[in-house]
Order: sequence, then structure tokens, then C-alpha cells
Amino acid sequence: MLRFIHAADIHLDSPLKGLEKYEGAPVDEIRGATRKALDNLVDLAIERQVDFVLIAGDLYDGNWKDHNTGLFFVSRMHRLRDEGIPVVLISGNHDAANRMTRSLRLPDNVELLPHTEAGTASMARLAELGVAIHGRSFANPAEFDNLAQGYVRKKSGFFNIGMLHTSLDGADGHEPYAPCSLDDLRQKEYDYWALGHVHVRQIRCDEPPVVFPGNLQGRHIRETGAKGCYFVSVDAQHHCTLEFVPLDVFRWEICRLDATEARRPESLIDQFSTELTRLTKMHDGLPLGVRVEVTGATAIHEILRSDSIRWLNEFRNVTLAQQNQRAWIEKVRWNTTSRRERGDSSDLSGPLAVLSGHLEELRSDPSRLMELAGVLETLKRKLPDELVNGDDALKFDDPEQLCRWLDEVEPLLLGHMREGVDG
Amino acid sequence: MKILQLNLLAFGPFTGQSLHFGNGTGLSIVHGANEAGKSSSLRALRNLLYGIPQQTSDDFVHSYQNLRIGGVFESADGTRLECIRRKARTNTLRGPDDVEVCDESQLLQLLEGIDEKTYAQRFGIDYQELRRGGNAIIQGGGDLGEILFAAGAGMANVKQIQQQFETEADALFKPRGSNQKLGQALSELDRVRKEIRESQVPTSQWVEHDRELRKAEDRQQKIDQELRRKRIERNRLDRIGQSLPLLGRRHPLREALVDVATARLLPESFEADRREAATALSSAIRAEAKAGQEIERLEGELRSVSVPVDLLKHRTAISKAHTDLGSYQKASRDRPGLIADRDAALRSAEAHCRELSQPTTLDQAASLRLSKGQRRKIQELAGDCKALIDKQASSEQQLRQLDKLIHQADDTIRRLPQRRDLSELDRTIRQGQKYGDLDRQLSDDQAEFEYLKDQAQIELARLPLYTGTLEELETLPVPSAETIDQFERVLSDADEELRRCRDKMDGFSEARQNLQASLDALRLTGEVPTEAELETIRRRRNAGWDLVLQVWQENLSSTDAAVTGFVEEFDSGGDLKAAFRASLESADMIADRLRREADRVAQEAKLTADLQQVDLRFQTACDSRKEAEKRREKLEGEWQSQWSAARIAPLTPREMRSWRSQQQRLVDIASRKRTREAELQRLVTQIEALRGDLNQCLEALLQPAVADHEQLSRVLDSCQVIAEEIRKENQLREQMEQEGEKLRSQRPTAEQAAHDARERLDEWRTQWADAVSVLGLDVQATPVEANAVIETIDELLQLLDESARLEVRIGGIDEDADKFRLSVRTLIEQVAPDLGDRLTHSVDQSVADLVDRLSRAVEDQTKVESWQQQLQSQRAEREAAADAITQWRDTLETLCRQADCQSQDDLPQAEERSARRRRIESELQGIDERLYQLASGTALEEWIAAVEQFDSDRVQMDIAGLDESLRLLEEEKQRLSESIGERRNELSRMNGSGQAAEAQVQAECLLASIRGDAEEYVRKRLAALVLAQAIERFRESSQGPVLSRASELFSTLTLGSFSGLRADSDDTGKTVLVGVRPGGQTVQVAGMSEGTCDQIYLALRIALLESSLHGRAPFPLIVDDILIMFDNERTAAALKVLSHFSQTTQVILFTHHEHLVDIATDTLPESSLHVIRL
Repeated sequence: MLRFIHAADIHLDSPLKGLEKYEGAPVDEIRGATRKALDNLVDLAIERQVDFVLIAGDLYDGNWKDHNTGLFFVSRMHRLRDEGIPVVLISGNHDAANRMTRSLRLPDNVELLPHTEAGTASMARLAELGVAIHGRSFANPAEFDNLAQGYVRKKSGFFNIGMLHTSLDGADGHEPYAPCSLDDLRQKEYDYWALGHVHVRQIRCDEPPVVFPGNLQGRHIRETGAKGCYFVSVDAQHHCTLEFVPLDVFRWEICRLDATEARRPESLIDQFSTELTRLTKMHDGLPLGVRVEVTGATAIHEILRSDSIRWLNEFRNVTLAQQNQRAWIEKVRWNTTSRRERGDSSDLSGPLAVLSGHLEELRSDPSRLMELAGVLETLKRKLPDELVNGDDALKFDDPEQLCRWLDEVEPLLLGHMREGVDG
Repeated sequence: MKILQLNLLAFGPFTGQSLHFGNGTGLSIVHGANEAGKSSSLRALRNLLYGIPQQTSDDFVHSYQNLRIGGVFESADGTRLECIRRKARTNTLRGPDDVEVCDESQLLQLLEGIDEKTYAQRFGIDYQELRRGGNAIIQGGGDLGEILFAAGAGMANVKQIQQQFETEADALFKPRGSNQKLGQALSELDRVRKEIRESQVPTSQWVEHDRELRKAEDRQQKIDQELRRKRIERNRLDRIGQSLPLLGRRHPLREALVDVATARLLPESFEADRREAATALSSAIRAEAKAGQEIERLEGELRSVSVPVDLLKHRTAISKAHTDLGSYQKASRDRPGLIADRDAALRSAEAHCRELSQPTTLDQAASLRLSKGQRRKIQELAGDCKALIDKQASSEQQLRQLDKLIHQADDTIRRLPQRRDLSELDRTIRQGQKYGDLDRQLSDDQAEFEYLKDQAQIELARLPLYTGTLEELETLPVPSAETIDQFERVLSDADEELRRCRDKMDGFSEARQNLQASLDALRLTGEVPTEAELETIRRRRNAGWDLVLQVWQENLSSTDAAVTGFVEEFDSGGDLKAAFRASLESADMIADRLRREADRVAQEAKLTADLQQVDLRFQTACDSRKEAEKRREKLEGEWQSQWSAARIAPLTPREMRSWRSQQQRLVDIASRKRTREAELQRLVTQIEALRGDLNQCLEALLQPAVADHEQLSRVLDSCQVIAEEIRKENQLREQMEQEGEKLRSQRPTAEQAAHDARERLDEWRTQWADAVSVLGLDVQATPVEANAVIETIDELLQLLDESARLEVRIGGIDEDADKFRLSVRTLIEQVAPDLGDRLTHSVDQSVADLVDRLSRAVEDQTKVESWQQQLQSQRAEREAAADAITQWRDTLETLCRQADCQSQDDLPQAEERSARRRRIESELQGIDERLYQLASGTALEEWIAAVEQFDSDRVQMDIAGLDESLRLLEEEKQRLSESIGERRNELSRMNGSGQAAEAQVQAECLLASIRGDAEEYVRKRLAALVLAQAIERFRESSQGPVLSRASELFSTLTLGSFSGLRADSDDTGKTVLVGVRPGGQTVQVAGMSEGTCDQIYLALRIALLESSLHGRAPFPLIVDDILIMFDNERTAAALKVLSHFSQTTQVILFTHHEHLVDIATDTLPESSLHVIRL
């Protein structure tokens, strides 16, 4: 019986993003997370005495320039060599962009499949096991050809595996590299397709298995849930049994809170506490990066939004009060609305109605929004490039973004005005 | 909504109490003394509306579950709601039976969705809010926008909120600051990024190091092999080089060995033994002969000498005599010197005796010796002498000096004038100084007066429209500024209206032209058929048909005028039939055209209608304009009449305002000029009075009076100088008088001192005479003389002592000489009687002879003893030599036998052959052993054969070559190993470290916080900005009507102390609120009292409430004791305002001041007041 591990998208030394440090945040847990995940992978291979390991591309981030990262990878491959476990690699789009890939001196138990054309792994041990592993590395950071077409014919009598770094027929948030269809793959009549590139774990086809194992370690809030590899057992009839094994050391989760019924902010905090306990238990106590999303038309909308920093800190305090203090509040998204509709100032009058009306007018007038943007120009000039340009940047010139800010300013102002009464 | 009833069923201190607010109109005053539960009832009202909070302190009488508050409300449409509020988690509102659950929404509906906070904010006002509002007005400098906004929202501190946002934003980020949170995070980010760059290892660097290392390691391996090979080669050559000289020596040795092969090998010590025996034998023979000769000589000597024994027995006595002779000789030499010394001393003593005043002999001299007491007494008295004489002299001198000083002081006093009183002059000067610098004041005033006079003239000349004098101008009845403002406003309004009328007329005439043009254009394209035409032609056609019918029925002739007229009209020259058809056709044609050209028709109709309309309006506008012109003229007339009293033909109000301000300035100048003139007059009078006073004083002091023309300040100065001089003279006189007094008091003491000194000197003289009489001196003798006599006596006595001592020594010497001579004589008689004769001549010679004889005898005795000893030893030596000769002869014979020699002479040759054989054999053995070592395992003969192939020079050259190449290789190896070390070191640094990656994580964390803070900054910055804009907007929208209403209320509240409020611009162009006094004068808020600001706030608050109620159902206003700081009159005014407000909306005033209730009952009509007492 054949046993192997299929992993992909290790993105070694890729940093965890979006975590703002605060007193008591589990800083040590995120340090070297991707390295620890790779260590977990190696440990798993040794512990389960697998016959070989497949890594379907993207060992590192394309723009990462530290050769130490490659050396670390090599040192871990040496551990597998000492245990006599072969490793077959293909390079993905990120690896192709990185000079390190071809400069590394891999130990003799590791074989990188060619990038000029599709090839078959040549290590003697694989032939002994009766396994033929076919694949092709990315030659360039962006491969838009259907690479699968060039794969060799299956080797009869062997267990045939195809390795490919692809987005198949397209995946959200992933570049459409090496596009191909499931049928393209099925036609090759291989026994297993070990894919990489898409970070979301999915089995696209059962017979033969066409598998994305997802990445090894989530790096930001868009990579939620457990991350790891597939442990595959093959019986004499070449029938595969797949077991997902989580290897990550830090996990991302979204915690959704509905504030509709909350009469006091404290009950929301309690709700979060309960939810956090549930999440911690669900993830076996792994340290968590939690995004809190608060929704609902609620009576405490203004209380929450007029001092969002305070409530953020309250949420943080809940994590600190946890026994192991292992959750990190990534961000709190306030999506609450007031009980009253926006622009409806029926229960407001006088100045507050004028204020509300003024905000509504600003929101609907792009030229005035731009005037507001002018006030923020000095800040914009000082901010680092990542925060001003790019997908996830703060778009100071975007009327929608400015409207969102005004949406946040309204409860802030109204809240303070109303606080003023008793104070 | 109105509150009709508040039932305090079980709440706070209340049980079953009910507050009735009548029908909900008018002012309700809820009065409760302190502790009566005013606050509780206020809270009860709020809890009734919005529920009892989870934590409440109103359970001190009734427990939580028993708390009940009831109420009766009436909505705007007259429906009533009665309910009871209890404390619970759910269903807290019940019906009047306290059983049935009442739907909360009914109450909410009454409240129109206003939540508790908003309610408290908008429809509740208490003293604290009033104070905060008043304060905020002062602090904000009267910023109208802020004040309105705050009063409108009922929250008082809007400025503070805006500032808070700005402060929070500033704490996060400032464009030029680096201490703000964002700035710090940004610089930290830069630092971390630098760390990333520094700790990253580029792949190229790693590849380079790796390649170089491998190259170096390969090369190193090759060098190691080469080195090994060369070292072996060099070692072999070295051995061969060492073997070659050994072989060169080996061959001759082997040939030499053949000669001595037969020689007998003797022991190593053989030659030494043989030489020793031969030498010893010959020396023994020589010793024997020498001893014989010596014995013979000694025996001869002994026979020639004899020794005197008696002399030797007295050896000690002779030695002593020899020693004593020295002492004897020395004493003989000293004696004459001593005698001379003694005589000299005696002579000197005699001389001293003669020196004494009383001639004395040497024998009497001893009696002159002074006792110690006498000597000390004389010395003491001598010591006192000088001090006593000096003392006496100095006391006399002091007395004389004192008398001289007294005389001088008296003299000075005589020369000074009598003392004079200055107090009056000082007082007057002080007064002058107190007035200050009168001169300058005078000249300043003079200058300003002149300036004002000139200025008035200039300004007056510049003032148009007026020709009178300045004084008349002051009383000129010109209209007030307000009147001018008023006229400017109404005139400009009138102008504006006139202009509007003209504009309208222009507009209408232009519109008319346009319409006319359109109509003309329409008509130009062809006649437009009209409905009227169609109507006409149809009527004609119908008439034609009637004609046809009539003609056909023969009721009418075809020649009838009607028929011919019809035919003529439609078909001239034709018949009726044709004419009718033509009429039919032309009617159809017009109908068709009307249909076909309906648009044009309609257009024409519209244009025509519009034209009429425009004409109408134009006419109206004309009328309006005429009216406006009339009004304008009337106003102009009124304007002119305002100025008639001043007999001035006014220009426009704007110009007249500036004229008026110019005139006011002149009035102002005139008034200042008058003031200045009066001031001048006053100053002159003052200065003259002062001058008179000063002259009086000077006269009293006998000083010349001051000149009239002199400046006052200079006069004061010279007076001061005079006063100063007089003061100095007075002081000097006083000082001298004191001095004389002091000196006179000292004189008796000085006199006494002089007397004492004289007495003590006399006493001393008596004692002195007594003391020096011993020395033979009288009282006149000075201490020096007395001392000289004492010294002479001492020296005389010393000389006498010396001569006595010398006499004793001379006697001793003579006695010793006699004793010595006797002892010498005795000794000579015993040992050398032959010398007895010579003794009489000289003792010295006799002793010398004796000593000489003794030394010769000792010498001889010593020689004899030595010879006898020598003889004995020579005899022993001769015997020993004979024994040795026998022994050595035996030894030599044995050696000859050993060397196989016949005689002793053959022995050296045998020895030499033995030694040669031994040497050659040993050398050969050494060479072979060395060769064997060098062969290093090879058989010796083989090695020798191999070595013989080489010659020495070649071997040396080969070795040198090998050494050179070995050195080069070693050097290269060294270099390589250093380079390998470095590379390995570099590569080991690249050990897969996660440092750069960790720094990257840090950078991401920083980016996240920068992002968060940036958004926070944006929110805070925008909040501040938007709030400021909203404040401005609220001001714009509510300023007019609200301000005029607030102005009225404010006037009422301040009892007419202010006539109202107005918006104004401050220096920065900001719109601010100012109070207006009844005279039109404006007052900034900074100049108002706190109470006045509170009243502004209250006025605005109520005005805003009134305006916000327009078109909405009223809500009860809850007022909590806001009048506590108002005096009675203002309280009455405020109550009136509230009462007036309560006509439109219910007002409930809570208070615990009884006097307020009294004022209310006195001030307000009974019908609009409900007083409720707790």
C-alpha cells in the first residue's frame, strides 16, 4: 500500500498580515508561522512513514529576497533525506518569480520537475514503489498556456500522479495561470492529480481525485479556517483514501455578532465572549486571528460607534481574559445601523437634524466629498505606499470610501452630542 | 402631547400622591421644599415615560416590585392614555387597573419616537444646563453659530466636542509633527524596513560564496597530493646527500686497517701507567741526594752560635723601662711652657686691678667677688631705667597735644555762622515735587491745545455743507446715526423696488418684442387660418344653403340681392349653384387647413394670448413703478426735512453718515480742546502759587528771591541746592561742638598719668644709688658703667684661678722625673753592671743600650731552635726516597712483560700501534652505523651501490629545486585555507535564519496599526470638520427668525436693560452675537455678566424651541429650577416668558423656592397658572 502527502502553496516566510500589535496580543504565536507549519509537514511525513511527499508549487513569495528562506527549506528537506523520504516539487508562479528557486542546492531526495516541458520524476526509489509522477514547473511568473496538454502519457502498470500549479477554469482571487479544464486532466487517465495555486482547500473531482490542498498556513483574514495537507493512502486497486491533516499554527476566523437585540453594549461583549470560547474550542485551542463583524439595526448603534476604540478594547480584553490568551483581534468591522433609516431625521430636530441633513448632502455630492478629501491630503502623502495604492489600500479619492467614513462619522457625532446631555 | 396627571403611586418618598396639571395648558409650577421630593417627582415623570432603570435609588420606601408611577396623557388629537409604570424586566407598562398589560407602542406613539436622551436634551432644561450654556457663550466669544447650535440641541458644550475631535486627531497625526502616534509608527516602520534589508541575504551572494568555496576546496586537495609527493622525493635526496661524504671516508680507513691488523691491543691506561712509573723513579733518586747535603750544612751552623740567658730573664722589666721613658721625655718638654703661661696670667691680673676705679692689689682682689643677689638687683634696676624715663616723657607730650586740639576746635566754631531752620523750605520743595513735572505737563498741554485748535480748524474747513463756527457745530441738531441708517435702509429699499420695477418692465418689453417677433415670423410663413374665419365661412355657407333652398322652393328669386350678393362673393359672374359649391369648398378648405395646420394655429393662438398677457403685466409694472417713484419722492422729502433744522441740504444717507461721523469727530475735538484749555489754566495758577511760597521761604533764610522767568523745575533745583548747603553748615557746627566737648573730658586723666610717671622715676633713682655703691659707683653712674665694672671684676677673678691651676701641674712633673731615674738605676745594676758608668750621663742612653742587648739575645735563641727542627726533617726524607726507588723499578719490569717488550725503551712504539688499530676500527663502525640509518630499511650494500650513482653537487641542486617548489605550494595552500575559512564563515552566517522574515512580520504589524490609526484620524478630522460646517449651516438657516424672537425674549428677560440681540461681525469676520442697548449701543458678550449670558442662552433656547414646534405637535417642556440666581424682577419677567410659551406648549416648572411661587401668583393671571405643592 502506497502512502504519500500532497501539499502546496507553502509560501515560506510570507508574513501574517493585518494584525495590529497591542498590549497582550499573542505576538510570539505569529512569529515564523509558515516555518512552523513546514516543520509540522516534515514531522507528519516522518511520523507516518510516508513513501514520498509532493509539493505542488509556491514554496516562497515571489518578491521575497532572502536566501535564508531557501536554506531553511533545504535544511528541512535534509531531515526527510535522513529518513529516506523522496520529495517531488514543481515550481509555481511565485517560485518562478524568485531567483532563489533555481539557485538552491537541493539534497538528492528532492527532485524539481523541469520547466521547459512536462517530465516524469526520475528518482529510483519511485520506480521501486511503482509510482510515476509527472509534472511541469512554471518557467515564468505568469503562465497563461494550458500546460496540462503537454503532460506525458500514463505509464502503464504504475500509479500515475500529475502535479500541476493551476487555477483550473478560474478561481476567485487567484490569477488564471495554466488554465485547463477538468476534462483535460481526466483525459490523461492518471490516478491522482496533485494541484496547487488555489489557497482554498477543495477536491474538484473524486475519480480520479483532483485535489487542491490549499495553503499550509493562513496569512490573512481572507484565508480562514484550518490549513494543511492531504495524507493519501492508495490500495492495490489504485483506489485513493484522502485524509486532511491541519498543519497550521495560527488560524483566522470571522466572528459575526448580531447586535439587533442588544440593549446595552455589555451584552454584545458577553455575546462575543461566548462566541470566542466556541471558536477556540472548535480550533482545538490554536491561537486565532479573529475579525469581529458586528451587524444589525440596533438601539446601541450610536453608543458603539461614537467610541469604537473603546469597544475594540473591550473585545481585546475579552481575549486577554481567556485562559491562554491566544486570540488576536484583527479588526472590528462595525456594520451596525441605527434603528432609524439613514437620512430620516424625524426624531431629530434642530441642529441634529441639520447635522444629519448636512451629512446626507455631503454623501450625495461628489464634488463636496472631494473637498473633504483635500483635508486628508497631508495624511495621504505621509502614508506608506501599501496603504495608499493597491487592492486593499485606503482610497482617499474614492467617493464610496469617503461615504463610508462619513457613515462612521455620523454616529460618532450624534453619539457625542447626546452624551453631552448628562455630562 | 400633554401630561394631565402624574400619579406618584409608590415611588421614592411618595405613596398615592397625585399631581394634576389642569387641562395641560398654561404654566404648572411644582413646588416642594427641600427633601419634599421635588427631584423624585421629576425623576418619576421621566421614569413613567421611559421606564424605571435597572438600578434605582427610589426604593427606600417601596421595594422594587412595588414601585408604581401612573400618568394621564393627552395627544394632539385629543385621545387620552392612562397607564401605570412598574419596575420589571418586561411588560412594565400597564393600564389604569395595574393589571392589564398596556402596549408600550401607545406611549411611544405619543412620544413620536423621541427617546429618553433626546427628550431630556430638547424638552428639559435645568440650572446646570443654563450655566453651561451661559459659560459657553462667554468662552466662545459670542460665536453665533455655536451658540445657536448649542441652544438648539440643548447641550451647551458643542465647542468642547469639536475641540475634542480636533485634539484627538492632532494626537494621532500632525503634518509637521513627529511625536504623534502615526508619526512615530511611520518612523518605526522605516527602521524595521531597514532591518529587513540588512538581514536579507541575496541569492546571488550565496551562489557566489558557494561556487568560490567549491573551487578553493578542489584546489586544496590537489596541492595536498603534490606536496606529499615532493616531500618524499626531497627526503630521499637528503639521505643520499648525507651518505656521500660517509662513503668518501670509508675507503681509506679500510686500507689503513690492513697495516695495523697484527698489533697487540693494550689497555687504554697503559701509556699513562708507563710514564708515571718512569717519572717517579727518577725524582726519588734526586730527593735522596739533596737530603744528604742539607743535613751536613745544618750541623755546621749549630756549632757556631751561643745564647745569654740572664738577660732574657729580665725581659719584662726592660720593656717597661723602655715604655716609661716616653712619658718622662714628654713631661720634660712641657714644663717650660707651663711656667710661662702661669706668669702671663699673673701679669694680666695685675693690669685688671689697675683698671678698677679703686686701686687694689692681687691679694685684695678676691674680696671683690659679687654675690648673686647683688648682681641681679643691679641688672633689674638697669633694665627698668629706660622704660621709666620714656613713660614720663610720653605722658608729658600727650598732655600738650590735647591742649592744642581743644584750641583748634574752639577756633573752628568761632568761624562758622549761626544755625538756620530749613523745615519750611523743604516742605515747599516737596510739595513742588509732588505735583510732578509741572513744566512738562504745561508744555504738553499747551502743545496738544495748539494741535487741537489747528485740527479743529482744518477739519472744520474740510467739513462740507456747513459754514458756521465750531461752537455752533457742537450744538447743531443733526439726525441720529440710527435715523440715517433707517433712511439709508428705506431709501435703498425704495431704490431697490424702483430698480426691480424697471427691471420687470424691461423684462416684459423684451418678452413682448420676442413674442411679437415669433408671431411675425409665424405669420410670414403664410396666413394662419383661424377658428373665427372658419366660423364666418361656415355661417356664409349655411346662408348660401338657405338661399339655395329658398330659390329651389321658389320662395326667393335668383336675382334677389341676397342671392346676387352671395354669388358675387363666391363666384363672381357664376350662378348660385357654383357659388354655393365654392362656399362649400372654401369652408372645407379652411376646415382642412385648420386641421392640417393645427400646430401653427395653436402656436399663433398661444403667442397672441401671451402677447396680451405681457401687455397686461407691462401695464401693471408701469403702475407699480409710478407708485414706487412716488414713495421714493416722499421719502426723499422726509429725508430732506430731517436736516432742515440743521439748515443743511443733505446728500445721500451714506454720504451723510460719513458727514455725520466727520461732524462727530469735530464735536469730539472741540470738547477735547475745551478740556485742555481748562487744564492749562489750572496748571499756570498752581505753578505761580508754588513760586510765591518758595520766595517766602528764601526770604526767611536770607537768600535772594527766584527770578520770575525761571522755569519751575530749575527753581526747585536751585532751592534744593541752597537747602543742601545750609544743611551741611549746620551739620559741621554740630560736629565741632561735640569734638571740643570730648577733648576737654579727656584732659584730667592725662594730667594724672604725667604726675605718676615722675614719682616712679624718683623712687628708682634712690634704689639705684644704693645698689651701685658696692661697685664703688655713685648715683650718677649709668647702668652701662655699672655693667663694665662688673665685667672687669669677673675677668680678674678668672685670671687668678688660671695661675693657681698651672702651679699645681708644674709640681707634679718634677716628682714623676725623680721616680723614673731611680728605677732605671736599679735595673742596670742587676743585668748590666757594665753600663753603670754611663747612667750618670744620660738615663736615655742607658735605657736604649739595655733594649738593644735584649733584642739581639732573643734573635739568636730563635735561630738555634729553627736549625734543630730542619735537621730532624731532612733525615726522615732521605729514608723515604730510598724506599720509592725500589718500588718503581718493580713496576716498570711488569709493564715490559705485558707489552711483550725486551726493554723499557721499546714500550712507546708498542703503545702507538695499539692506539692506531683501535681508532680505525671505531671510526669504520661509526660510518657503517650512520649509513645503515640513512639506508632506512634498504640493505647496506644495496644502499651504498645506489648512493654511488650520485654526485654531491647534483644532489644539492635537486634539493634546492624541490625546496623552492615546496615553499610555493605551502604558500598557496595557506592562502586557500584562509579563503576557504572565510567562505565557510560567510555561508554559515546564511544559515536559514528567520531574522528578515521576523522583521517583515513586525513591519506588517506596524502597517496594520498605521492603517487603523489613519482611519481613526480620518474619522476624527472629518467629524470636527463636518460639525463646524453643520454649525455654520444651522446658523444660516435659523439666524433670522430665531434671532429676532430671541431678541424680544432677551429684552423682556433683562427688563429692557437690553433692547435686544443682533448678529454682528467681529475683527476676524466671524459672525458673533451682540446685545443692543436701548440707545442702539452694542455690547459684546465679553462685556456681559454671567447672568446676562444665562439669559441670552434661555432666550435662544426658548426661541429655538418655539421655532422647532412650528407644524409639529407640542411637547411638555420640563423646567428644573432655572431661576434660582434671578432677582425677583427678572424672575417675574422669566415667568412671564415661560407663561407666554406655555400658551402653545405645556410648561412644567419644578422648584423648591417658595418666593418663586409668590412671584408667579402675583405676576401671572390665575387662569394660566397651576401651582402644585408636594
